[in-house]
This record gives sequence, structure tokens and C-alpha cells, in this order.
Amino acid sequence: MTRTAAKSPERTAATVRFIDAVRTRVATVVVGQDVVVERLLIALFTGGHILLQGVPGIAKTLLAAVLSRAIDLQFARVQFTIDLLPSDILGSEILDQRTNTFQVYQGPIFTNLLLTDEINRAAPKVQGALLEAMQERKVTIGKQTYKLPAPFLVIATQNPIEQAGTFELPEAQLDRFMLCHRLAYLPAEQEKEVLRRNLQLGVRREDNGAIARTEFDVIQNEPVGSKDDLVQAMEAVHDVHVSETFLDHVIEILCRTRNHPAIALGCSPRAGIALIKSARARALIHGREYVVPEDLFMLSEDCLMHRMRLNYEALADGRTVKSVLEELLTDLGAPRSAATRNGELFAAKATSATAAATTTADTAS
Amino acid sequence: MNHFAKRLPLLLLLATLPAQTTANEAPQPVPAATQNNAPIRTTIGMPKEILELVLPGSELEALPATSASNVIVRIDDVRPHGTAHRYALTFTGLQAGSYDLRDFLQHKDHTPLSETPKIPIQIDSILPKEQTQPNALKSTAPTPLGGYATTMLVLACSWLLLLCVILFVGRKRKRNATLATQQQTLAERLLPLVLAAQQGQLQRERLAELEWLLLSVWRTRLGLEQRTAAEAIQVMREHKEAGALLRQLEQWLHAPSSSSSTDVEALLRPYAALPAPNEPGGPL
Ligand SMILES: Nc1ncnc2c1ncn2[C@@H]1O[C@H](COP(=O)(O)OP(=O)(O)O)[C@@H](O)[C@H]1O
Ligand SMILES: [Mg+2]
Repeated sequence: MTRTAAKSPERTAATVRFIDAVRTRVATVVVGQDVVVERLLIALFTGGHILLQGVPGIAKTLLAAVLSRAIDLQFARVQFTIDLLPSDILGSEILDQRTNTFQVYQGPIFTNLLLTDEINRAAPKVQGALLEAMQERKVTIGKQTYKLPAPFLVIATQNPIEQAGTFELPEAQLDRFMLCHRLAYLPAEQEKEVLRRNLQLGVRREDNGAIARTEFDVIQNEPVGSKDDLVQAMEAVHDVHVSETFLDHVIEILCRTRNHPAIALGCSPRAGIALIKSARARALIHGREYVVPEDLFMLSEDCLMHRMRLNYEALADGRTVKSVLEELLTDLGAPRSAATRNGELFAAKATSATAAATTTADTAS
Repeated sequence: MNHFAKRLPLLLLLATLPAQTTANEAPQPVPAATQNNAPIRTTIGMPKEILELVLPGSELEALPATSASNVIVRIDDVRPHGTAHRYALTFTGLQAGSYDLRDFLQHKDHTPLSETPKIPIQIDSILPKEQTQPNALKSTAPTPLGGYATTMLVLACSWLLLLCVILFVGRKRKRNATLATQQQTLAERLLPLVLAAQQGQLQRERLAELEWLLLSVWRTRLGLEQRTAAEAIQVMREHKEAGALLRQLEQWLHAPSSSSSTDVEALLRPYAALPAPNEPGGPL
């Protein structure tokens, strides 16, 4: 426990301060969505890319915009459209008529934080170009290969609604995202707060007219954290201890996804790496020096679900990846061969649970 | 020429064929001229026709048949023949034996048939000699009930029934079996692990299993089975009793180089004292 502290107590303290400052800044604009902020920080601290999935209008873009400006990072935003070309993000060579030489124009991907909004609206070719750059962290324009700046992080958003002119990302490309977080609607109380805040925004005078202000207008521009803070946080993540037992847990989960009767495509080793990386970052964010099973349970949905595919029998049964993963996590204590449906394991014992609680409470105290 | 010669025997054969068939088909009436004293033979029930039979005296008629008659005679045609008459008649035998056809005829004027010659007939039986009764019926296997459609329906039903049995009985048995092993698992698997860990004899590879089982114990005990695993662990960590124990467990299993400072024996004591699963109020 003392190992991390001994390593760099001031680094840990600085990281805690940094995280608090970023969270506070985000909270000035975005109501709630604490889990999403946590996941965004995890992505930032581990250098993994993150895909935010959710219906339009639940502040996906807003979150990414606030976060990007809270840290002193180069930021670019690309709205994906159906007619976007790979060169629109990567860049191209432009012929200079006067000197008759080619000049390289570097696209918006040359940045620290790239927000690609509605990634599933672009044609597969463009998605492919982006995802390749994400993986390789370099881009080839003409004959020249350019390294992308460090840190480089993509925050992509995607609408799950089936719409005309959307191209679904295949599993192989989804696998490039370390995390895929599914945003839910806010609880009623928080949503009311969104409306209340929005009432206060008023209008902004511009030229001779006025424009209704949005949450995007109240994002403060001066950052609360520097690139240095981020680098320190990234290093602090590497100080988080991962026990052998935790590795055993991760292996157990991966194996179960590969042997589950309802799953056609189980998790790759890359999924396991993502799970451990993000568990470390989560432990750091929660002020722990070591990862615990809670990190595993909380992150498995974001790390594993987008890399799993059900087989046709399971789909025909109306099962979802989520329910299968849930079943898998619930059954972890059971012997691996006896993988059964969620609930069955405990259903038989549910009746005695209440009685047991009193009995064993006595025993324990 | 050659061709015709080849076909000649066939043509000749064909030419003889019609004659043969007519000879076979029409039963030959017996001309009276051919009869000497050999009896005219037929079998029971088969009518026999006699043509051109000249009998002296006045016109004859058949005796009316009674239930006792052994032969029934029918006069088909009568024509005068000088002082005699020429008859065409048919008789049918009902009982095997030798008879005189005269016994079944009479003059229309009831004068005796004294001058009429004997007309012997012989009725043969195709049955064995003493057989007076029909063959006894052989008992055969009863035909299937209800015929083809019913048979098919019954077959289909039993096939479906068998299918259901295979599908559901097997599955239920398997499910029961897995449930049984699991019910056994949680409590029975936990105890040896806890005891071994308390004595510091548990292999490191089994620590992961121990932790899952302990988490399962708390999840069951706090009634969190219906919640998701993520929700359940959060509730468990915030629970006063469970949280404290689980945090100690985490520290023992996951914290760096702090395993020596954890009193494993004390940590696991509450789990070692669990009531046995089959006792009333057993937790698992
Ligand atoms: N949690 C929230 N906090 C603050 N504003 C919100 C929240 N959820 C939704 N909004 C409002 O809804 C709008 C949604 O914007 P946007 O980020 O573009 O959504 P998305 O990118 O998900 O389609 C925001 O501008 C804001 O007015
Ligand atoms: Mg948006």
C-alpha cells in the first residue's frame, strides 16, 4: 500500500487535485453524467480511445467539448457526414501554383484531442482511415509519414438509432476503441436541473441581432489542468498495483466469453488489456492504489460488450449482449462448466436469503 | 422374300388361334346322337345342356322342383318329331350321384314314361368325398383398428410425444443437475477454501475462486440476486458489515505487499462458521 505513496506522494496528490478540478469544471456545464466523465478521464489517462453511444441530445458533444477545454490540450472537432473524405480528416498534398511544389496540409487529426461527432455517418472508407490512424498513431500523406502528436485521443460519438445514411461500425473496428460507453437519460431530478440552468442562459448580442445562448457558450476557455498534469496522471496510472488474483479474475472472464454457448465472438486479449488498463485508471480516480473486483464489474460493460457478438440462436432467443455479459459476471463464482442463465443460480436460494441474513449477521458479529 | 419366309411360321400360328379360342370358350352341348349308355357328366351346380334329344310319346315337361330335388331340369325347346318329340333341355345337379334323367320328367298327360329309354346322368362333386360342410374358417390376424389414416395419426402423435420427452425431460434433468451442483457449490466449495486459507495453506491460484465465492455469499445474503453485478458490488461495499469485510478482503488479495499485515484467520472467521447448507436457515 505504501509502495505507490513512497514512489511519488506529490504526484498522487497533484493527480487527485487535477481530477477534482476537471470534474468541477465539467460540472459547471454538464449536469450529472458522472460515470461518463469518469470514463472520459479513464480514456485520457490510459491513452485509449473512447466511443460514446447514445440517442441525440444527451450532451455527448457537450461533454467532450467541456473536457477538451478543461485541459490545456490542442483540440479539434470533426462532424462526420456522408460526403466526408479521408483527406478531410487526415490531410492532403496541395500543389502550390507559384512555386510549382507540393505543400502538405495536415488535417484536423493532428491534434491531442479529436472529437469525431456521429462517426457512423461517414462512409466506411473514412471510418477506416480514422480508425487506422487511431491505431498506428501516424498518418501517411503523399509519400511522407507523419507522427500524430502525443497525447492523442479520439472521443467518438455515435447515435444508436437506425437512420438513413448511417454505416454501422464492424466489430473489428469497434475493437480499436478501448471503451464504448452507452449513455442513458438523466434521472428526472437532474433533467429538471438541466432545464433550470438552460432557462438562465438568455441571449447573446451579436452584430445587430441576438442569438440564444447555449451551454456551449458558457464553457470557460481557460484550462484547469495542463498537459503536464495529464502526463503525471498517466504515469500515476502505471503505479496502480494489479494483483495476481486480479489477473486471474480477468482471465476467467475472458475465457468465459469465449466458451459461452450464446457468444459467437468472444473477447480478444486486447479486451483484457483494455480491462486492466481502465481498471487501473479507475482505481486512481477513486483514490485507490490497487485495483479491486469492483473496477472489474463496473468496467466490463464498457470494455467488453462492444467486442462480443452473440450467435444466431441467442439472437433468435431475443437475448442481448448485455444480458449475456451480466449472466457471465453473475456466474463467476460457479464452476465454469455449469454456465447457466442469469438468476437461476440464485433463484432457488432467494427464498432463504432473508432468513440467512439474520442468521449470519449473528454469526459474523 | 427372305423376310416373308422368316415370318411364315408365325403367320400360320396366328391363323390357327381363333379356331382354338372358340373351341375353348363355348361349352359344348351334348348332341343326343352321341349318347350311348355312358352317363352325361357334370359337376354340382354346373348346368348341362342336351340338344336334339328325341323321346317317344306325348310331350314331356319337367317335374316341379322341391327342396328335396337332387336335379333340376328345364325344357328349353320342344318340337314334334313324327309321333315323338325333339327336346332341348338343361339340367343342373344339386347333389352328387348317378341319376336317371327320366325321374325328373313327366308327360303332360300324366301317362307313365314306360317307353322312354334310360338317360343316365352323373353329378360329380369337386369337394373331397365325405365333405358335407364348408371348410372351417381359418382365424386370421385382426386388421389394424381404424384403417390407414388412424394408424398414421397415432404414429404422428406418439412421435411428437417422444420428441417432447427427449426435448424437455432431458433438459430439465440437466438443469436440475447443474442447479444441484451449484447449490452444493456455493457453501460446500467455500468451506474447504476458507479453512485452507485460514491455515495459510490455500494455493495462490485458488484465491480468485475464494474471492468470487465470498462475493457470491454476500450477494445472496443481501438479496441482490436480481441486481446487476455492478450495482450489487456497489451496494455490498457500502453495506456496513459486508463493506468492512470485503474491503479487508480486497486489501488482503489486491493491495501490494500488505498481505502479511492482514489477519486472514480473523477475516475469514465469519465464513467458516456458516451453518451447513442442509440445516434449517442455512444461507446457501
Ligand atoms: N446532462 C446535461 N447537462 C447539461 N445540458 C444538457 C445535458 N443533457 C442535455 N443537455 C442539453 O442538451 C444539449 C445536447 O447537446 P449535445 O451535446 O449536442 O447532444 P448530443 O451530442 O448528445 O446529440 C446540450 O446543449 C444541453 O443544452
Ligand atoms: Mg452531438
